[in-house]
Amino acid sequence: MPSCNPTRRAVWPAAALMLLAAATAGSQEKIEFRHVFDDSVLDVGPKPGETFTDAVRDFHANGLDPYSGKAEAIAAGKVLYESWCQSCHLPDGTGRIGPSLVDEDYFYDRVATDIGLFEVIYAGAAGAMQSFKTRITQDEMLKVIAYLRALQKAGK
Amino acid sequence: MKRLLIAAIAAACAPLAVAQTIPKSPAEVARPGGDLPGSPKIALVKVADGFNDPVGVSSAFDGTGRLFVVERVGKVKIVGKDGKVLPEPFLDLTKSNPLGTEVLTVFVEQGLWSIAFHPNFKQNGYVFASFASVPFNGAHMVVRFTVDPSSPNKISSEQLNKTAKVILNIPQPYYNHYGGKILFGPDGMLYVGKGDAGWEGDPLDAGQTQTTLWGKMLRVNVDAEDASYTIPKDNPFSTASRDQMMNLFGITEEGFSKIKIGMRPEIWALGLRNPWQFTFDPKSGDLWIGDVGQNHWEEIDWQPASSKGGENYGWKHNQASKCHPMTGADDKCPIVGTLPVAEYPHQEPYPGATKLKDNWGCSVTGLGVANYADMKGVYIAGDWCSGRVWGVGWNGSKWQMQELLHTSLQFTGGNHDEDGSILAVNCYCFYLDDQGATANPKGALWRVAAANAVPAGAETAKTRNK
Repeated sequence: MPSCNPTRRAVWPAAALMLLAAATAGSQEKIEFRHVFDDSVLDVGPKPGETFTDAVRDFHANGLDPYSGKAEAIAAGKVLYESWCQSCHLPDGTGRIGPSLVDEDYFYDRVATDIGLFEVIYAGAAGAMQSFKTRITQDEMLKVIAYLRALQKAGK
Repeated sequence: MKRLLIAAIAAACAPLAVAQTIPKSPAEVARPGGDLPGSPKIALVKVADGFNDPVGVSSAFDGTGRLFVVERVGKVKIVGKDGKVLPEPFLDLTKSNPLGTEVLTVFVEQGLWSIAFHPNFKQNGYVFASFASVPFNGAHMVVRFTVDPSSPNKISSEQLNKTAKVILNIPQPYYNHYGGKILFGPDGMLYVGKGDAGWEGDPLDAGQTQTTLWGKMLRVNVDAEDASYTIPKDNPFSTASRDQMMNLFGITEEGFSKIKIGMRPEIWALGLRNPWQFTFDPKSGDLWIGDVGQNHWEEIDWQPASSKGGENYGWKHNQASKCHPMTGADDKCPIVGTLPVAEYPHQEPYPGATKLKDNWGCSVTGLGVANYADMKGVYIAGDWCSGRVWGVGWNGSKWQMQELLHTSLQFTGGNHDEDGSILAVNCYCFYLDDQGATANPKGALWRVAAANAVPAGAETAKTRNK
């Protein structure tokens, strides 16, 4: 379902987003993260005790998951996925209580981008898809995203 | 005169409205995607928050306007008319026993589920609590306590122990499907939602077994001085198990069929899986049951106030209007007993089905019946997984089920306030990442309001942009 705001960047195709990211890389401009339900702006400040890694800082700046394709991070993401996600989304990501994470018929269109996927994991979505912002660090979320992208790739 | 004539013509042209009836075939059962008459629009207005795993809410109907939020851990908090939560619990079952808490909360379906106030609470101070018990190894207990009029907002431990009267103690073999809600009907009887006692697939065949209380709606008379309760004479099976002389001739087959040896007389309705929430329409007295389904379909049952009880809702032969076990899209099986009026699917409506994007959930939580906000007799149900809120109502010729809201909340319970408005609670307690009954993120109390009647400055539940 398209967002009500056609200019919102999180629903842009991933390729266009990458171009945008490349154009703005190096600038201090930060990505604005929004809730998948009502587009309200999210505060993505660190949770108590959390220190942002370089990966998180880079992601906030350019919206691209620096762990994408990195074997070590993907392995860490798999461990996190098995602990936090697989009960609802199944070990292969095909979904049961929660939607499939591996087909291209996305439940929320914006999860095509790393920003959108992060927005759902960070702030939650419908019902049982609760916010993970107090449960795991943003660095861990980026590792889960890297694992999910690998899972999607493997399924193709 | 002219106006009368126009009215007469309008009445003649309108489709003939008939009173609502129980569906006779699965095709008559409402599913999401329908349209409620009057196109109601609602919002969820926050009343109070900061509750530990709230799973129920009750009004005492005593004119004080107090709301009683049930915390799974074994406490009940009072929300005053001003929306402020009193710091001291009204009821605390966690400290009344020097050996530890009364309430078992290890699994998320366990805990204190519900409290109900006696219809004459103002005079007798009786309040009833329904919970999973630690001392009785997980049994489902219903216990009556008496509020001391000099301490209306807090039942002290001493008062609790002095006045406790056990109404029901129902053993529980597995840790899920207790049911747990208790509610007084308009007839003054106490109704208890009793799940099939667990595992999956009803391995005990509880829903259809006449000798067990599991998998049933129960109805008992608690106004019994010398007993825990008595059986209302008009319960459908009150005399079904009565000993009698055997007579093989001169009795009709229908007559024989009414002899049910061992039938528990407390049973009001049977064939239920987990009637977690149920409610009475405050206006009509009709009974609505949200029966939690298994892998594929959720069920919503309706009984008119004129029902004599004895309905069999089919579990485990059917779940909703479908076959159980479901094996595919075209399962064929008999419909056992009474069909629901509405049903909704999980993401996968049958094994191997294409996954749905919309109109699905995983566990029905009935909230109440709306006779306001452009609704008449509309049952409002929330879902524990998807955050959706549906309305189920009759449009004059058939049942309709319409999505009213898509929220981010996990609904756990609901009830009516004194004015008939619907209250709901949400909990951040789920099968996964349950950190314990006092450690999960805090839940809140909400009120269902007409979308155009939200008080200025009130917080409403986040809903999904369409």
